[in-house]
Amino acid sequence: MRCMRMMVLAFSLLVLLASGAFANFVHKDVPDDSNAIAFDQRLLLLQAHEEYIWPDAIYSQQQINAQQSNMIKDGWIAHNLSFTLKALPREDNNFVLPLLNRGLLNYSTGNYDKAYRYLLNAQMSMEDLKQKSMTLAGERAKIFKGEHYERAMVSFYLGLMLYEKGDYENARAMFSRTLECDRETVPDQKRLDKLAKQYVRNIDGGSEQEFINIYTTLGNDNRLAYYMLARTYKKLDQHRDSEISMDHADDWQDVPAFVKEESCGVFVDRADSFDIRPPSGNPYAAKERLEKDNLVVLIQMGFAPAKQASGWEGRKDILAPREYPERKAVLYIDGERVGEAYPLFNLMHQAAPTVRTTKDTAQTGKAAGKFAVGIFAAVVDQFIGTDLQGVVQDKWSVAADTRRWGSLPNEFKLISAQVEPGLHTVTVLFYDQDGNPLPHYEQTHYFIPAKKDKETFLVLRSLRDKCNTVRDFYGSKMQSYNAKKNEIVFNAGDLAGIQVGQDLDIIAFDLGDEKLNQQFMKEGYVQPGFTKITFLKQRFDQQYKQSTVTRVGVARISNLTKSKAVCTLVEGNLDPKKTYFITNYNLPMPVIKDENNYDTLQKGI
Amino acid sequence: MDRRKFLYVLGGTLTSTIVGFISGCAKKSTQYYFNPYVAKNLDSPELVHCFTAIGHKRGTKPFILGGTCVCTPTEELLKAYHADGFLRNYNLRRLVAEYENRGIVLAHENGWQCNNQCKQGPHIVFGGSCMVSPTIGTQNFENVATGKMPRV
Repeated sequence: MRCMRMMVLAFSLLVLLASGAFANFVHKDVPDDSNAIAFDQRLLLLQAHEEYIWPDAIYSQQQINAQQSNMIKDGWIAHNLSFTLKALPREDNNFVLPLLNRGLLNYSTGNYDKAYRYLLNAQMSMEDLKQKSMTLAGERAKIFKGEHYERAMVSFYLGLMLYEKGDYENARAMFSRTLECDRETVPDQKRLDKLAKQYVRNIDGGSEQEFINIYTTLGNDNRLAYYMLARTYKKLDQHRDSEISMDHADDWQDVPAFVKEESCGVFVDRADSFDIRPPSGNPYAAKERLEKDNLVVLIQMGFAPAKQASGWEGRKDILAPREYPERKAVLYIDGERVGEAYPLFNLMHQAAPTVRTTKDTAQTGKAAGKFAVGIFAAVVDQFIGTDLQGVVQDKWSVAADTRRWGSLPNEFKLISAQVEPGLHTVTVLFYDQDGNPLPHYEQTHYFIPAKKDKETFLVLRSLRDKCNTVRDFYGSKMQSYNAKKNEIVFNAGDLAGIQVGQDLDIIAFDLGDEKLNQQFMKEGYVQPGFTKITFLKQRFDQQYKQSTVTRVGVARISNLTKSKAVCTLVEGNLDPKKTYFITNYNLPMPVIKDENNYDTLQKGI
Repeated sequence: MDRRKFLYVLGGTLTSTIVGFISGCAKKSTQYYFNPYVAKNLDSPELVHCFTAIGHKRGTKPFILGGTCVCTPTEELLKAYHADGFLRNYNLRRLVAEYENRGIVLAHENGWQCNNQCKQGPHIVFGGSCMVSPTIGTQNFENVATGKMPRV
């Protein structure tokens, strides 16, 4: 009997191996709900449900209502608005933000028709709408018009879509508009002179003219727009203009340290780590590459810097770089390494030289006004026994405007190549700052056409699990298993939407190392009431890279209460000493073993 | 407070702290997050449908006539059909009329790509009425090419 069991087990293992369970999925096995198939559709659902796009956190209405400090409350509302997809009426001061986010979402999912309309609407509103007057309240009470770098990006995306459409005249106009927005980096003469004097005091041997030169370059260093402008001029047969633009696509100027300290405050070190000087000599900004390369890949990476209220009464906004792990990208075509993508553009670098003058003065004035009114209210309170000072403190927020275009990427990397005409498989491998591979970010795109006489323009965005053929899921740790009764109990609240009679997969989880397995049991759970799972994802990026999920059985729910689900084991044998999990994710195959293409491709270097 | 009373209070406090700590631990969450990763295969899958962005696949006939070609009709495409022995009695106008009669959109008036997300979408291979060529590098592009319908 025992021998028979062994034979059945060995046969099952052979069948599993033969069916490719331990190898990469073949495409026909990729489930239709996998990220590799349905990621974009899920993005579109976010828009349909008017939710948020790529936020690092969202504050619930209860959290906002319960917050006592108006300054923090304002910050949270501004944060939510930065990622919102909820359409707002034109009378709403924030109506531009969903237009921007929807524009980028539709661009990412390839609907250029809608993306163009959303972004054009946003651009016209940001550039043409006039503020009626100054407000005594927080800056958020004003119509959102974005910073110069955000306005530049709106024009850039519009230009990119026009370029891809083949409307080169209008694309040129949009890229030129991008450069005009960038020139708004340069402050007015009075402020520039003042900063130049500060520069001379800070830098040994520095001159005022040197500082003015620095700012002249900083106000004309949108390398992305220049690169695209060079391509556009070439299409328009304006070769001299193309060459001039191409020269600028290699310009770089470090932001003076004291300016960066002013715009980034306590986040200046983090800002430095996200605004790294690129290697000199952009290999793709060359006439020959422009003429011969027929595949151009632009890779958008990370997330644009956030803003935080800082200083007295939160009157000043400072840039706070948003963390993201992917920092390097390597391109492969049909499994052959093409090269590392060049860091062409960095939004943190564009934002850092922003100098605020009028706004900061007005904000300081408001904070001082609030302080004075507070003192007056305290005096009044002494006489008539009211709490006017508390009302002033709680209800009058002079907090800085921290709204922003939250879905923007932080970096654009560029790579172009001369490729044989035909259909190709394009793979991009991503690495962190130290060169460690990030399998969850890996992207493979099939059937990318290359033509002899026409370039293919591919714009990608690095997003976690975009090309993962299996989905992430939740599981409930089995609380008990009674072998005699054939009964399994788990916490019903762990799995959403389960019903009596439903069959659920029982899984075993193994990280190939007992210590890691123990660590997972200790740390892999989801904090109750804490929906942010970013840190759990990071563990899968860093520590849990060799996971194996094995379906060991099936449990049918026989009884369900709010806290407890009782199931009957209908398939498989369980070892009472082992830890199992129950999940309502239907595993697409009996064994899901972590597989990436890094080893295969890197060996080919 | 005498010494004995103090020890009672101290003992009580410590015991309640330990009990509280243990009961707190006992209520640890049982919900776990799993995030396995299986990459897409480097070998491309079989190309099922050809469309304009990819280029016509010889030997295929229009989808609406039982084939797998969803390329936008042009004179050049019609010549390719004829060369492969299909639609011999069709000219371009008749072929375009076949699409129009079925309410299929071949291109939008403004010339923009909708990636089959317009009101006529999804793509005809997924039961919609839009046959605008999908946008390169998107999932819809790949889904139309392989005929895989996403489930969300």
